[in-house]
Amino acid sequence: MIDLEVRLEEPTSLPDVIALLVEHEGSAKVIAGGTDILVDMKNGDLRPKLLISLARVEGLDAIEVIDDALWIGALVTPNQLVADERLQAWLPALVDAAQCMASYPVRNLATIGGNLCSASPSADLAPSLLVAGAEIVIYKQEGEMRNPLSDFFVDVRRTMLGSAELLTHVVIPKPPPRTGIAYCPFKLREANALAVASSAARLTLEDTGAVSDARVVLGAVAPTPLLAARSSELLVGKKPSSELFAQAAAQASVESKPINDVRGSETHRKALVEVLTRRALEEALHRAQTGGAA
Amino acid sequence: MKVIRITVNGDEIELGVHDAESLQDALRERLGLTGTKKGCSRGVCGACTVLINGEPKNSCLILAARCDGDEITTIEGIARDGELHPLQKAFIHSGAVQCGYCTPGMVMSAYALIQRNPDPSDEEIKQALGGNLCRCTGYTKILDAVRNWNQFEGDFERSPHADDLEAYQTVGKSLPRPDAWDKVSGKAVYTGDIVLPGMLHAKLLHSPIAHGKIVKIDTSEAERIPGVRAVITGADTPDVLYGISPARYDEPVLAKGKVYYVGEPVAAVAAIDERTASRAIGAIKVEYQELEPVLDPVHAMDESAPQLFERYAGNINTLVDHHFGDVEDGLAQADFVMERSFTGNFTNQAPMEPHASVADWKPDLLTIYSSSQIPHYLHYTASYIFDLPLGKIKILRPTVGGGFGAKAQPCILDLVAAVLSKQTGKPVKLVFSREEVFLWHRGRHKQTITMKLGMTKDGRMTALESDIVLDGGAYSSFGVITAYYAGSMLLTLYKIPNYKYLGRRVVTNKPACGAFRGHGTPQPRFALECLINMMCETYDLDPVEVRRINGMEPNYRTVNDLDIGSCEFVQCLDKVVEASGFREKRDRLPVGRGIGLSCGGFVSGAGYAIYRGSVQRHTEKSREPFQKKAIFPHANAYVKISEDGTQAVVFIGAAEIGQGSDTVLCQIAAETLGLPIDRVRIKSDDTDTSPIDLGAYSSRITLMAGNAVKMAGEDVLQKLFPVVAELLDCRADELSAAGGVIFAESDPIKRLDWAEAARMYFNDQSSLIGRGWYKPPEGLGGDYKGAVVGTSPAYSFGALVCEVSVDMQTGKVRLEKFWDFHDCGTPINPMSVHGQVEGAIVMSSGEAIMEGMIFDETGRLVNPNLHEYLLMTIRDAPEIFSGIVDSYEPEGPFGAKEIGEGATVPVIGAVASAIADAIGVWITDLPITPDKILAAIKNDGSPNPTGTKP
Repeated sequence: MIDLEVRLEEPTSLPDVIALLVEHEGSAKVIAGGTDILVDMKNGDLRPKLLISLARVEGLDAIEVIDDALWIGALVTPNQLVADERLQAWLPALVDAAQCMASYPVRNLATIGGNLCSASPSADLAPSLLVAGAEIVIYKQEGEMRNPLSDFFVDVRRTMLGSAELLTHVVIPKPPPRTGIAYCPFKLREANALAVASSAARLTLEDTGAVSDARVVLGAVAPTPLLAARSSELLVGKKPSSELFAQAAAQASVESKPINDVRGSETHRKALVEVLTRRALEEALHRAQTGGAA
Repeated sequence: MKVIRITVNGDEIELGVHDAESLQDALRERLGLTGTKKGCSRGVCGACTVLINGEPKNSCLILAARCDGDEITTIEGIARDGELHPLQKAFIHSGAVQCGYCTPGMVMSAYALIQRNPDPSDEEIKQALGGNLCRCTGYTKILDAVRNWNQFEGDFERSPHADDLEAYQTVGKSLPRPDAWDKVSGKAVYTGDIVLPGMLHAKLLHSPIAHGKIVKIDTSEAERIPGVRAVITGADTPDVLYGISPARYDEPVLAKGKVYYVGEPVAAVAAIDERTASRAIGAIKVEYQELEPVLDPVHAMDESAPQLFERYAGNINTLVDHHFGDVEDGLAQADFVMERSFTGNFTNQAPMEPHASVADWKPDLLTIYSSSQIPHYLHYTASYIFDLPLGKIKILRPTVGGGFGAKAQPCILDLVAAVLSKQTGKPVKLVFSREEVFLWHRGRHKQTITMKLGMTKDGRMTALESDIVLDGGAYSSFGVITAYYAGSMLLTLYKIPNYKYLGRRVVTNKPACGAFRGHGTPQPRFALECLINMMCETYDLDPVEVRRINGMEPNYRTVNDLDIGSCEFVQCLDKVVEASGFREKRDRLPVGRGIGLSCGGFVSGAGYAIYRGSVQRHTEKSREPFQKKAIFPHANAYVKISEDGTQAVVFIGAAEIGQGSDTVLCQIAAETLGLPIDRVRIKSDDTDTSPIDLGAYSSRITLMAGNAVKMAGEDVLQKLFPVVAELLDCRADELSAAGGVIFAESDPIKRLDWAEAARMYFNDQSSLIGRGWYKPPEGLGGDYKGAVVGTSPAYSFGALVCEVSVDMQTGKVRLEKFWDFHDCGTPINPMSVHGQVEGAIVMSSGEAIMEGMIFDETGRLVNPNLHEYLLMTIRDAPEIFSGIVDSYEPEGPFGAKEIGEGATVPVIGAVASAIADAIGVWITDLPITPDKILAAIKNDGSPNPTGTKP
C-alpha cells in the first residue's frame, strides 16, 4: 500500500529530470522499471514524496552500436538484452545474467539502469558488466560524464550517483579477440530467485593460449560486487588449466566477504564462490577459445 | 490524480488515478476487473499478470499513472464473443485449474507465450511461466495444458482418460470442474473481490514485539483522520477467548493486555478506503512493556523459563503420554534397535489467495463472507463470540483460492470485520496482505522428534517409541489435535505391536501453529520412514520387504485402536517399486544421484466433530460429557430438482476451496440420480440455503459429504419412482435411472424421460427434494484419553519413490522424477486424484528442500514474503507419475476415500531418503538446503565425486 500523497512526474527530457531532482532534493526518487522501488515503498522502507519517471524521456530504451561500443540505454529491460543479437555475440554472459533474473514478466519491467542503481549486492547484471570493463554515462546539470562501472558501487544499496545525477547509458566496449566472459550464479530455486552467490569471469587469451587479461568479479558476497583482484592477477600470464582455475577459484573464495542471511551461510557462500568461479572460468575459457565473445 | 487514456480489452477508457496507484488496484477497484488477482503485490506470485502492449507484466509493479496510451489486456479480454480461447479450454479440460487463484496470471503468461511462439518446447513454457506460482497443481497439468493448447481449437473431441472407470456412468470419469469456466475467464468471485454498497475497508495493527504487556494504546490521532469510521482495540472486542478445540480456547479477538507474538493483532481501523485505514493504523500509538520472549520449545519447559500462560504449566499446552502394548518387551525381542533424532520446520500453507473477509452486521442478521475451509465452525465460533443464535448468522463462502489448513480455523479477519461492521453500521472488508498470511500462520508445527525402532533379523517391527516436542507458537489453534495426530497416525501403515508416544506441544512467542495438509503427520512420518530406511541400510535389510512384512492389511485394528477397513497398501508398494525400478536403482546410481522410498496415508475424515454436543448456541448448552458417537450428522445434503425436471441442484455446506469437492459431489449426485453431469450443479457456499457440512479438513468431504449427497439422491429416486411405477405399470423397486431416463430393468419398453417424471411429480406433490446425511459409525476408537484423534471411517494408503540428483559441489538438489501409487478407494474423478497427488508432491518436496519460516533472536519472522519464503516454481517441479490402485472402501460413496492429504504424507521421507542415497550422508534436519547438504558432504569426508558409492 503506497501512500497516495506521493506525486508522479513524467518529464520528457534529461534536463527536466535533473531540474526536478534539484528542486526536490532529498524527497524525490527516480523511477525506471519500478520493480525495486515500488516494492521498497510498499514495504515502507522508502518514502519519497515525488517519483520522477524516466519512461517518457527519449532515447533511453535502445541498444546501439557507437564507435565500436555497445550503448545500452538505462531503460533497456532484461528481455531486451536477451533478445539482442549483437549482445548475444559480444557479451553472452550478460544475456545469461539477464535471463536468470526474477521472472519473465518482471524481466519486461526491470531495467538495466535500475538494476545497477539499486546497487543490491546480489544484482545479476553487474558482475559480467564489470568484468567486461563496462562504463556508465552519468548525466547532470554540467553535462555528461563517463565513468568506469567499477567506481560506481559504494556500499550496500549505495552508488556514487549524486542527488542530481542520472545514469543514462551503460557502455560495453567491444571485447578484444579471444575473450570469453561467463557468469555463474547460484540460486535456491530455478526462477524468481536472487543470487546466493555469483561469479563472473573474463579471460582474454594471447595467440599462444596464455591468459593476457583476466578478471573475476563476485556477487552477493560483499557489500558491493567484488573484484577478486588477487584471483584475477593469479591468472594473468599463465596457461589455462584446471589446476590454475582451481587456484584462482580458491583465491576468489578467500577474497570474498560474505555474510550469513536468510539465503545462505557465510561458509556455504565461501564454498559456492570457489565452485562458481571455477565453473565461470571454464566457461569463459570455452568461449574465448571458440570465439563466443568475438 | 492523473487522467490516463488507456485501452483495456479493446475499449478505450479515460480514467482518473492517484499518482502512486498500482495498475493492479486501478483495474480491480476502478474498473471492476477483479480477474487480475492479488497474491503478494510484490511481483513474485504472478497472479496479477496482464499484457501491456502485448507483453506480460506484473500489474502490481506498475503505476497506473504511467500507463497513458497503453493497450492493456486482462484475463477478461482473452475470450472473444463468449467463446473461450483454446488455451483457456485446455486449462479446463487438462485439469490445470484447481483453486483458480493463480489461473488468470498463468493464462496471461501462457497466452503471451503462444502469441510469440505457438509451439513452445517444455523448456520455453517453463521459462515463460517461472514467475507464476501455483500452490495446488504441482504444475504438471498446467504444463500439459500449455503444451497441448492447440488441440482445443474449434470443436475438439474430449478423449476418455486412460484410467476412467467403465463401471459407472459418471463416477470414475475425469470430468472438468464445474467452476473452471469462471476461473479461466476471470469471473470467479473471491472474497477479496467483493464490493458491497457503502462498504468500508479495514486494516490491522500488529504487535512489533514477541512478548510484552500493553501499557497504553492511544487511538486519538487515528480517530481524527478524515475518512476513519472506527478504531478498535482489545477493549472493544467481546470478553471471551476462542480457538478451535473448546477445551483450549485461549485466543482473544484482539490482544487484551498482553501480546504473545510479533504480528499479533492489537487494534483495527475501518475507513472509507484501504489507504486511509493504513494511514490511521500508522497513527495508533501503543506503549509496550517488553517481557522476555520464550522462543525455544525445549528450553521453554525448563523451570527457569518464563511462564506464558497460567493454565499451561511448564509452557506445555498439550501433553500426550500414550503407551500401547509393551515397548520395553518389544525392544527386547528386537535384533536391531536404532534411535535417531529429526527436526522439522515451520512451513506455511501459503495459499495463493490471502485470507479475506467481508462482514455486514444488520440488526437481525450478521452476514460474513469468508475465504474459509470451515464455514460451519466459523458460524459456530461467531455465535459463541458474539452471543448470537446460529440462526441470526449467515456465512457465505465465495470462491476460495486454496487453504491447505490455513483457513481451517475461524480467522481474525472474520471476527474483527464483524466487530467493525457492528460499530459502523456498514459492511466492512478486511483482507490479509501476504505478510499477514505469514504472521497469522496456523501452519505446520516445527517438531523435534526422537524415534526408536526395534526390528527382528527378518525385518519384523517389534516396537516403536517416539518422543516429539511440537513448537506450538502462542495459541492453541488446532494444535491440541496436531499433537495427538503426530502420534496416532504413525500406526496406520505398519502393524507395530508395541508403541509408546510422548508428545508435548509447547507454547512459545511465535505465531500460532495449526493444521497444515497432513495435519501433524508429515514430519513424524518423515522420521519413521527415514529410520526404516536407515535401519535397512545399516543392517542390510530390504526396505521393500520390510515394508511388505509389516504392511497394513484390510480389517485390522491397530494397537492404538484404529479400525482399518479397506487397505491396498502392499499393492501400492509393489506397483511403485516396479514402476520406478527402485530395486534396480537403489545403491546403484552414481554419486550425486539417489532414489528414495517412503509411504504414507491419512484419515478419510475425522471420526468426531471438533466440539461436543448438539449444534446450538453455546450459552444454551452446558459442557457435555464425551459420547462415543457422532451427536449430529457431520454432512448433510439436499438435492432439489428444478420444477421443470431438467436440473438437479445439490445443496450442501461442504467447502470447495480448490480441491475439487464440488466436482466430486456433482459426479456422485449425477451417478446416483441417473442424470448426465451437465444436469447437476451444486450450491455449497451459503449456510442459509445449504445444510451443515463440517468443512474441508481431515480429508473428509469425498467420503462424508459424498455419502450425504448419495443418500439425498437416493431419496429423490425413492420419491420419484412410485410415480413412475404407477405410470409404467410396474413395481417401484424394478426401476432404475441412468442417462436421464427411468426404466424398468426387466422390460426395456417401460421407460420414461427423467425430466418428464420429475415434472409430473411436481405437478402433483410440489417440490421434489431429497435429503441425505452422514454420521460416522458409532464407537470409533479406543477408550483412552485422546483416542478419538486418528479415528476415521476409512484410511488411505500410498507409496512413493523419488529420484533426485544433487550437485555435489554446491549442494543443489534437482527433483528428477516421482512415482506415486495411491489407494484412494474408487477414484470419483481420476484427473482430480492425480491433481491432488501432483500438487501434494510439489508442495511437500518444497517443504523438504526449500521452505521454512525463519525467526530471529527476538522472535521476529525474517522472511514473511514470497521472495524469501520459497515456493517451488514450475522450473523446480519434478516429473510425476501418479497411479491409482484397485480398491473399494465399503464405507465410502461408490467405494471412495481420501487423497488430498494422504498424498503429502510420504513425500518428505522419500526426498530425504533419495538425497541420502545420492550423497551418502543422512540429513535429518528440515529443510534439506544446499547449505546443509554441502556441510554434510564435507563433514563426511567428501566422497569422490566421480567414484561409486561406498
